[in-house]
Amino acid sequence: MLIVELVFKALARSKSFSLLFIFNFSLAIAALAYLQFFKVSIDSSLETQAKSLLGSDLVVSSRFPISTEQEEDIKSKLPEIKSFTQGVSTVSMIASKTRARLMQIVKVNEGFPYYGGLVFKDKSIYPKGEGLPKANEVWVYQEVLDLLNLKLGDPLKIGKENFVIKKVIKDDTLKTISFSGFMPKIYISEEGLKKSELLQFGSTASYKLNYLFKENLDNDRLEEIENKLKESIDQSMRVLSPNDGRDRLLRVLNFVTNFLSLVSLVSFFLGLVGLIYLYSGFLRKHQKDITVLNDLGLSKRNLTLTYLLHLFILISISSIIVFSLIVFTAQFIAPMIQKLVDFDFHFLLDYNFFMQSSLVLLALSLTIGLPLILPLLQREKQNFFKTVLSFIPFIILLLLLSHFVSPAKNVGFFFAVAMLILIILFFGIGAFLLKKFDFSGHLENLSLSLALKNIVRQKKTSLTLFTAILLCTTLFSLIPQIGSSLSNALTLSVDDRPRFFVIDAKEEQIKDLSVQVSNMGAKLENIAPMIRGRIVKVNDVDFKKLSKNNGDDKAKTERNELSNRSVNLSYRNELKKSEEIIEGRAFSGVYDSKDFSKPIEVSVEKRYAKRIGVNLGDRLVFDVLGLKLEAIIVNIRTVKWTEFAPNFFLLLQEGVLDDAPKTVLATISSGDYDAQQMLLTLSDLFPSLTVVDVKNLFESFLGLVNDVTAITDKMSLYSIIIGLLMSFIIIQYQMNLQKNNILRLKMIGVKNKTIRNSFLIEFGLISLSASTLGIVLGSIGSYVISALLFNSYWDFRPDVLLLYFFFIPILTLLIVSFFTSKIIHQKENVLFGE
Amino acid sequence: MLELKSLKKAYHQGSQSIEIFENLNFHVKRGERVAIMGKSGSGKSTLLSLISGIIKPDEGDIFLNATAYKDLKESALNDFRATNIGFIFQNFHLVSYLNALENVMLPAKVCKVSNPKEKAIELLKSVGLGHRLDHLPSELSGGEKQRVAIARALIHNPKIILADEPSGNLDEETGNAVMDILFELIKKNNTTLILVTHSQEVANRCEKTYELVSGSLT
Ligand SMILES: Nc1ncnc2c1ncn2[C@@H]1O[C@H](COP(=O)(O)OP(=O)(O)O)[C@@H](O)[C@H]1O
Ligand SMILES: [Mg+2]
Repeated sequence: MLIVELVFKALARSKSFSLLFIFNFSLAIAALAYLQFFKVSIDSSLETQAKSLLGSDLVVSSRFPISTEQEEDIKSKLPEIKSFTQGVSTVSMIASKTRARLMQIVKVNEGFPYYGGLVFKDKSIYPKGEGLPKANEVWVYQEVLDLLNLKLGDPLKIGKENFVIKKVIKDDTLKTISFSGFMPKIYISEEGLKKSELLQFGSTASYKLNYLFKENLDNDRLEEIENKLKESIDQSMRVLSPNDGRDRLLRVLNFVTNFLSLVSLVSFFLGLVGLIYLYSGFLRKHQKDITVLNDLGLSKRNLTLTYLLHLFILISISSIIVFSLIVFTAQFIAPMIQKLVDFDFHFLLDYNFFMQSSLVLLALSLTIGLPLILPLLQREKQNFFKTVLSFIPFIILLLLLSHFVSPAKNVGFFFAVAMLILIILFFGIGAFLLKKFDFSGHLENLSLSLALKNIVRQKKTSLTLFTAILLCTTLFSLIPQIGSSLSNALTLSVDDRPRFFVIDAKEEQIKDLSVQVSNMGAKLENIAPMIRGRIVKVNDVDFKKLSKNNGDDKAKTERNELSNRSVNLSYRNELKKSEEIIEGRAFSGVYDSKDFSKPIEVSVEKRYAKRIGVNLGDRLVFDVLGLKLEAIIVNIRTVKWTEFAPNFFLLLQEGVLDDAPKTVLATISSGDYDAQQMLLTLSDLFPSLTVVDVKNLFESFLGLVNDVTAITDKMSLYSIIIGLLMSFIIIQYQMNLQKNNILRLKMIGVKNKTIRNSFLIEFGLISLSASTLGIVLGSIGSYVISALLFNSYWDFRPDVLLLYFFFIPILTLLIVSFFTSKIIHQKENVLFGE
Repeated sequence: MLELKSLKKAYHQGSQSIEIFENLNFHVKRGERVAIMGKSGSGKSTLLSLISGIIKPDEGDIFLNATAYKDLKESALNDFRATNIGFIFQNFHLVSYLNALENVMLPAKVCKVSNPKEKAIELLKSVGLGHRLDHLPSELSGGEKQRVAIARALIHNPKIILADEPSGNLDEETGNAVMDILFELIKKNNTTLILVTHSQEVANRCEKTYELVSGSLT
């Protein structure tokens, strides 16, 4: 086994190279590997989480009792069912001796929810522990006790029956998406519900069919089933699948994993560039050995195998280090993820991951190794075009890899293609500019002259180094600025953020409510009337028909959904500070046509307009309590989402709906008052009112944003470390190439200082220009992104930028002077008699 | 003009020491062309390194133009070498990122010769490369490279040229052509030449030929 022997000699003889290689490659793959490794766990946890928000695989809900025929019809359209329950819930005024409040009464079904469940204060759980409540027992939320001034074991009258509070619920996975989700819940047994006779009074109820399928289907598949079912059943029924429950938190998490995977891709690319430089430097050093071995009769095939094996061993060692690190640290990281995502995170050891990674790494060794090794064996200089051609398999591998590592469809692939095109463009333009810059002869200042010629005539190296530093600094300045813009946007609006939402207030209550609130030191704000209606026609076309024939599938289902659902309308003539008209004009004033002969002016929120596919000037017909109202869209407006006040997608002119029956939505400002007292006082005085404390909602969101910012900051730091390491490798490679030139210059009598300065100027210029451009690009990028996402709460961070501006060039200069002095002290007489 | 007096030089490698010169005496007159021959490893390159002042003898003195190397400080010695000695190598050793013109101009810049560009162009023309001024070394053939190297060695009018097997890497025909140019230019400027070579033919062009055998020149 001559080959193996040679490989081990090569490994043993170049220890520092091997160490640098392993270090660089381990860093390059670490982030990507970690993300991929946890991806499976995160994905499956997200799936489970989404399922437990719904409690089942599929839910059909209706405001009216669902008939047996309907039930059979639905059943025939679904996959084989493992378990099925019928849920009922209703809303009722519940009173204690001292207080009364609107509460949601929910029937407990045996075995339901199929996913998630209840956790009680006494740490017992349902459905996997506790049995059903007895006919005279109820389980309640803590809020029920607070609001009604009760305690565990107290009696409670619901409808016509008396019950005993048996258990207090601490956690409820179904909390988030219940249809009147803000109300405190009381769980009751089927018999109890019957005895209370609540449903006989015709009070609003919600009927649900919960399905658990035999086959374990993923959420996307369930969404397909949901969409199919929607098309074929009565429009009064709603269908929900777990994906509908993906709330803002999950969306943010999705964004984070996507973002992290892109950053880790960049790091991976940078690391690979470093690897290519490092390895071709190594091969260059061994060129003589290769020639000699070839002359001694070792076949080219065996030589190729030798170096490929050498490369593969190095790559494998790095991977084994990273993989063991992953396995070792997983147990510490899993709880951290759990804390971050704030739901049950189930860690799965994914053996497939290791298999796949090994294959990828083998492919990497081949696609990088062959184009580097083969030209050396041919013993002839390859032209540039041929070199590029030989790297095509490697590039294809990278594109494929990018495609598979990013969670969102195509994002990684397009990102990689965009990067590739940018790099090609960059090199093209750069090479052209450098050629323009070239000149014959010397400048007065010899160092500068040498430096410029080095930059201009070693285009490949100069541009690679430039691009690498540019990429790093762009990322490095982009990410923190986006992060701080984001928290800026959130904290700037902190003062305006309400503490409570007031929902379902009656019009006549508002005046008293306002007085009460201000008596307690707060303000009732954002008072908005709300009227329920439906869109029945768009531009004289029946909305349902339109939605069937027009647009792509997604828009179609969205529209379908909308046509099923009523819309909330509000009216007001002035824009809020957080709103901006992007198309069209403001309302012309109060509506004045008595017989509704003139179309009503309507304003539509931009994203909503896009979703339902309407444009400026379109005519809509609304159905409000049976009355058909014709309206025309006079403007499209945007609403800053950082504003935490409730807003409406559809806004009508004043003067139309003023007399229609409506409820009122409002907010109570945050401030220096006793929030608990406020809540209790208001529910005492206005028992029918729903007051929701939104402090926790915002705070947990802000907390999540801060966590995300911290992660992205660290990630950008990681990628800059890889970038610097790669710069280090490229500089080292370049300086080794320059070794003879340095000695030649010395021999001619050029002073050490002049030589050293020429290299300092060369790399200083490259890194200074690259980091400057990177900072500018990163800032522009962060400005654009802030403008798009956070409506321009852009936070310019001169502190960070200035740091990078000095830090990166200075670090480059230190590296360069280290290598120069290493070489410059060699005696130039080695040039003799070589 | 060049005088080596009882030079002693040994290389030390660990505990081993390789004695190259024990007591070398050597003298070259102004304008003289001297060829040095000798087996590989006999110390020819070491001799050139000593004359150029890059390495120091263990004992003995070297004088060039009556200046003793040992009287000069390191930096002064470097300056002295830059102005007084020109080099030609077997492997040409052109600075790879400078074109022909810039390579030739370089010693002139270092020694602050006036009109470096004009002088360089003139010299390159006289070695027959007037049309290849802005070619990089990688774009030149071996013979062309050596001609650039000759121009570079001569531009600042050094007192002495040290050449280490200048035709060693060239085929015979090219080698001869390059040698023709070298000797022509040297004659014109009356420059002293010390030429290390393996070729008797090349050695014959010189006025004196020495053989380096076991540390002494005969
Ligand atoms: N830096 C050095 N360290 C140790 N030994 C050396 C060194 N340079 C040359 N030698 C040894 O000195 C001897 C003479 O070398 P050199 O002057 O290059 O001979 P030539 O040029 O005649 O072939 C050789 O045996 C060589 O191995
Ligand atoms: Mg020699």
